[in-house]
Amino acid sequence: MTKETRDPLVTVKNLHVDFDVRDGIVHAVDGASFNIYRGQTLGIIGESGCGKSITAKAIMNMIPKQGKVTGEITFYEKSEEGSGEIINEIRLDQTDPDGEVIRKIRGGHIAMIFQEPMSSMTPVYTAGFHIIEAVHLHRFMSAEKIGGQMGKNIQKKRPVTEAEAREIAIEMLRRVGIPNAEKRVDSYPHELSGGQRQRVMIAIALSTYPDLLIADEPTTALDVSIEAQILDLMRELQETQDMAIMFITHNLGVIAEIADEIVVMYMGKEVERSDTIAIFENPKHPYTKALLGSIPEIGEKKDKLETIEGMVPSPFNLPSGCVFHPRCPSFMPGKCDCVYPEYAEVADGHWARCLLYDGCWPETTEAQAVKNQAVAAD
Amino acid sequence: MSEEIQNSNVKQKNDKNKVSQSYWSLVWWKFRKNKLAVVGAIILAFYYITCVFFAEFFAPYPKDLESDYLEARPTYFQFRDSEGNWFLRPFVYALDEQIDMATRTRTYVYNTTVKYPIYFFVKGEPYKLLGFIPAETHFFGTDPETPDAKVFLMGTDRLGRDQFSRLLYGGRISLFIGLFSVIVFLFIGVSLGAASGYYGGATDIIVMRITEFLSAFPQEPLFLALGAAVPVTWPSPRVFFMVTILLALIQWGGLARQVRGLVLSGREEQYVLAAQSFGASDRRIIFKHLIPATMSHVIVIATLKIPGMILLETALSFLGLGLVPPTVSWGTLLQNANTVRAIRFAPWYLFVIPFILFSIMAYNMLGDGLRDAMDPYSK
Amino acid sequence: MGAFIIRRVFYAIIMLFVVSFVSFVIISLPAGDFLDQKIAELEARGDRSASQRVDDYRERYGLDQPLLTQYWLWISNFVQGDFGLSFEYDRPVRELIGQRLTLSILLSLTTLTFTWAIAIPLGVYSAVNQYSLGDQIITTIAFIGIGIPGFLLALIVLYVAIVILNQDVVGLFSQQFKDAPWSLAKVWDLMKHLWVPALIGAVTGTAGTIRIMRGNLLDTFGQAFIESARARGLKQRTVVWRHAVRMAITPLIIILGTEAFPGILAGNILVEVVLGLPTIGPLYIQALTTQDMYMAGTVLVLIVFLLLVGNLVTDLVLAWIDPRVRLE
Repeated sequence: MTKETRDPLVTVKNLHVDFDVRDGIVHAVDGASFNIYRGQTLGIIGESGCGKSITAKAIMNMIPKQGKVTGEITFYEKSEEGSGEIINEIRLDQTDPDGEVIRKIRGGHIAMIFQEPMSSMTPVYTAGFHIIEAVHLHRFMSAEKIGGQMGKNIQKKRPVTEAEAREIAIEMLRRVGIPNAEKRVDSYPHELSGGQRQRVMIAIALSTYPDLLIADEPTTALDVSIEAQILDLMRELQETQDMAIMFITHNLGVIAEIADEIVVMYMGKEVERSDTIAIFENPKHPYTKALLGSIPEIGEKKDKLETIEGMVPSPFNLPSGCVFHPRCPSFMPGKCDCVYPEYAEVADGHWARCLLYDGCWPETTEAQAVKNQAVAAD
Repeated sequence: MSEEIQNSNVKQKNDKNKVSQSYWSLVWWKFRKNKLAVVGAIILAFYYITCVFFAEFFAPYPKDLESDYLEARPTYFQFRDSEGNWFLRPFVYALDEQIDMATRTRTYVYNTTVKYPIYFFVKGEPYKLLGFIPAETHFFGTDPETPDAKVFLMGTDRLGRDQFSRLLYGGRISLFIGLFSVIVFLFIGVSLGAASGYYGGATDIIVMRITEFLSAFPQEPLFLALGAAVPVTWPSPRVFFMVTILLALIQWGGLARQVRGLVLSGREEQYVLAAQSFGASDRRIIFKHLIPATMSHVIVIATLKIPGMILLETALSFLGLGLVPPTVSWGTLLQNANTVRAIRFAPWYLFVIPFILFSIMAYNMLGDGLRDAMDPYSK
Repeated sequence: MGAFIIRRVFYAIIMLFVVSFVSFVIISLPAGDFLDQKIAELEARGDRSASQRVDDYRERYGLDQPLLTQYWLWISNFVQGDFGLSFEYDRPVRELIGQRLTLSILLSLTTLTFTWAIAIPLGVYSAVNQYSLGDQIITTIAFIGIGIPGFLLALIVLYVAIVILNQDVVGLFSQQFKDAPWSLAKVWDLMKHLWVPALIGAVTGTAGTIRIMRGNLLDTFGQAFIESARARGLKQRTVVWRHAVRMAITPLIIILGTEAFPGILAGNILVEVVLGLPTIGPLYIQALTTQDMYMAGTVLVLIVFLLLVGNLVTDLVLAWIDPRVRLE
């Protein structure tokens, strides 16, 4: 699919999420912009606490009350008849967090799976109960056509019956590879293994045929072998259901396998974005480079794995200028600690936020003065 | 060189002090921030001063002094007389006796023509402050020169004794019982719990079986039965002592279990293992290491236990199964109010209820505050 | 599961024996027995045949025998439903206790219903609207309520009813129904009286339950499955009640069986005495004061029996409501 024909599903523009906590204001997400296209996978990568999960929750409009969201999150709803036209543009950030509009989207159009499969299911309900609950809310059966002779395709929808919902639940469990699904549908969470629980969570999420699956570190809590199985499963289901995935992780290996496009975040800020190959072959931002340097490669013998120096700064006491400068190997004194870089397209379809690239210098006179001064000093 | 060593020693010592203080100073800092807890502590201090330590001074009359006014209504402090004049010094009206011929009952009415002004720090019945300092000054009272003048802030009982004075003296016994029985309770609970957790084996099994058995009994009926078993013929100090012990005896089970749990986890701590490897005796390990580690937990339990102890004693004595007159406690005073007739014709007997409730609430507030302050994980 | 129940029942029976023995010992502790007094009293009146009857009882219950024999005689009759004789009333304990025990259990169950009906919605409201004005009011009231024991509250209610409202709240029946046979009108009359002591008894428990419910629910809200339920598009109300409350209520059920029900049954004794109810409370206190040993012992053992039954029922309910327990 070429870039021009890509079909946007969710667009995020200049998203900010601020939390007013006792010790000050935390900018959990500080200017994130990206698009999620139908049928494609967007990977979001960064260290823990960099705002990945908050971004996902902002899309679901599930930010806790004390958080403040600004920016634009738009969801493009397509008509279900298959004509493919966009019938509705919904500003998710402006919906009532417990209103009907967002509730129809949550679970229905955008489903989410979480990091802890151990505790993501209510312990007193069976696997089947969870799926049936979602199916009842979001799936409708087409009843017999009425007014078919008129040439119009008017369909009457009716809710799913109990028996049908159970059928769907068993079918979904089978599809996510749970053995003996007819029996497992009545299993309680504690009777399932970690991998099985995450499979069930995926089954719950996919049972409503969502347009987008947000997977928030879905394999972090799992063993490596199970991780691979789950990733395979997600890819396979993505193809059969024509579904977009927003994959959040801190694991570069995982993201290389699954993502079409990658967003790199650091301290709530989007620092780089491009398609997966470009990110891995030609990373632009020093932070991305450092991240890539810290994965071991087979066959290559290093004395020491490269690490990113220094500590993640406190969110209450962010460094001046570029927030990465205290840990950055390409730190330019007098520049990086003074000027906050802008986000700019530094190569074709490749965005970065780093003063190494001219495009990232802000247009303000102060910034230009710093730049010129530095040039003069050279 | 030697100076340097000395200096570093001094420095170390200071650091050590800092470290050992920091937990308790943190507790104190947190506690002070909790207004409710501070209010509770102040109320309790007030109770202990007026009832436990200086009841003789704050009570206008001795607890057994019988006046001629039998079951007389309270004479409240007045600041405004029947003609509408305001007075800075409070006064009380005299009481006139009236016999209702129809119901054959005696009532008292205010005689608004006779006013007795109230004086503070007046001379009254002699007493021994704190049991050994002879004194005659009372906090407040009527003019000692006019013997007819009486002040009954909360009315009198059937023998004409001042209810307010008796409430203060009664508070002494009730608050004492609460404190004493909690001390016994702590002693039994902590020592058995610590022994059970540290030694394990047969000791553990026996102690735990007893606590299970105790928990199978509902507390109140068991306590009432035990209270009833105390011989009526015993002298009152012995009954007092017995009730105190019984209160502790029926309740230590829960505490022992908690201390056992804390000791069980504490036993595996590095410092205890280290002490053992140095050959420290069991006694030393229990008393120097394990029990102190449970202290903050135990203090909170004890504080929250006291109100329950006070209430149980009150209930027991109220039913006539515990302390009996002439011992004055809130429970025996409440006994006066155990008939519908008393509530109808002498409702001032119920003044004991606010006395009890405020002390209970103060202990709960204090205990809650202590719990929050001592829990290092709470916010 | 079956083995679990059998084990619990077996354990309860052992406990009941130990408890009954200790109760018996405690109750027969006071020096001399009721019959000594009774005989002295009757002989003073010159009632020879009555004195003979008393001697019969003494022989039948082995009152001149060692304590262990006395206990054995009593308990072996007890399991057959003969609880012994009330010396005070000169009638079988069983006859005297029957209706009173039923009323006591009815009162406790009503109290419990009130407690839960009030506490759970308030606790849920308090947690859902944490730090709101309503939450603060509820928390404060709950804090005060925890410190107020039922019998003092009963005295306050009596005062308000008698002195201020001039109403009659004593007892469970109006005068005309007191000794009347059971009828619909009498049941209605009972209902009209029952709510007062039930509400009084409910105050302490309600306060405690609100606090526990609120705390549990706030803990539950932080759990991943709540977020996951919201992400499925459920209504906030459904998330709260179907997922959060359902989970938060489990510890309450443990408290219900092990503390609340027996606690109410036992705690109500004092309320019953103050309000003069025709329940076992006043009977028990009277038996203790007059050393009517079989009566007191029977009441104590029956209370413990109900307590153990409560525990057992709790275990079963818990197993039914929480699948994780069911497996063990």
